[in-house]
Amino acid sequence: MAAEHVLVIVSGDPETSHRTNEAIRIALGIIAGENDVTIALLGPAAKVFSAEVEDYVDGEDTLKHIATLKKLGQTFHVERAVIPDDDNWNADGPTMIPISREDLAGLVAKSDRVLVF
Amino acid sequence: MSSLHATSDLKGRKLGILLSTPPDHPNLETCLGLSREALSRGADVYLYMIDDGVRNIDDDRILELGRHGAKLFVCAYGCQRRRLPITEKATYCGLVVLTDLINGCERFVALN
Repeated sequence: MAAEHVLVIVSGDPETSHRTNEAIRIALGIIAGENDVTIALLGPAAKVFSAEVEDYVDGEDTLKHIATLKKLGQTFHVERAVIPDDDNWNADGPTMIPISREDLAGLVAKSDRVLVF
Repeated sequence: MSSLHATSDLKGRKLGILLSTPPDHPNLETCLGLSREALSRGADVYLYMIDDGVRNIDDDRILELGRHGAKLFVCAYGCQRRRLPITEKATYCGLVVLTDLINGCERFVALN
C-alpha cells in the first residue's frame, strides 16, 4: 500500500475547543501509519505553541502529542500572520515553518489527501 | 435508500469518509447523501466516525448504510472519552484503520 502525502490543516482555537487537540492526535496517528504528513496551523490553532497550552482544553494531551511529533522530526507549518512576537512561543517545540495563504494553496495542490479541521 | 438499485458504474471503487461532527451537524446529511449515492453506483463505502462523530452510530440512517453494505468504523478512543459503550453496531478501532482507509481508498472525504 503506497504512502500518501497527507495535509492536515488545523484552524480551531485550542483555548476553547477540544477539536484542535483531536486534530493533532489524528495527524500523529496518520504519521504513525508511515505516511508523509504535513501539519498546517492557521489562525488560533497556532496557540498550541503558547506557553499556556497546558491550561487549554485537553492541553496536557496536546503537549504530549507535540512532544512526540517533535521526536519524530515532524515540522509544523504555521500561518505567518498569526505568529506572535513572543520569545516564549514555541520555546522548546518542533521546527516551525512560517507560511502565507499562498504557500498553503501550494501545499494543498501537492497533497494526495487534505483533512481540514 | 430508494436509489440503491440504479447503476454499478463505480463497482469496485472505494470511497472513504471521515465524520468527526455530532449528529446535529449538517455534515451528517452530507455523509448520508454521499454514501447513499456511492452505494447506489456500486462503490464500496468505508465510514470512519471519530471525535464527536462517534455519536452518529446511534442514528438509524447510518445503520441503514451498514445494512446496504457500507463498512462502519467507530473510534474506540472517542467512545472511551465520552463513556459510550462498545456495541455490535460497528467495528470499533483506532487510527491505524483510518490510515489504511486514507491509503486504500480512491477517494477520501473528510467531513470535519
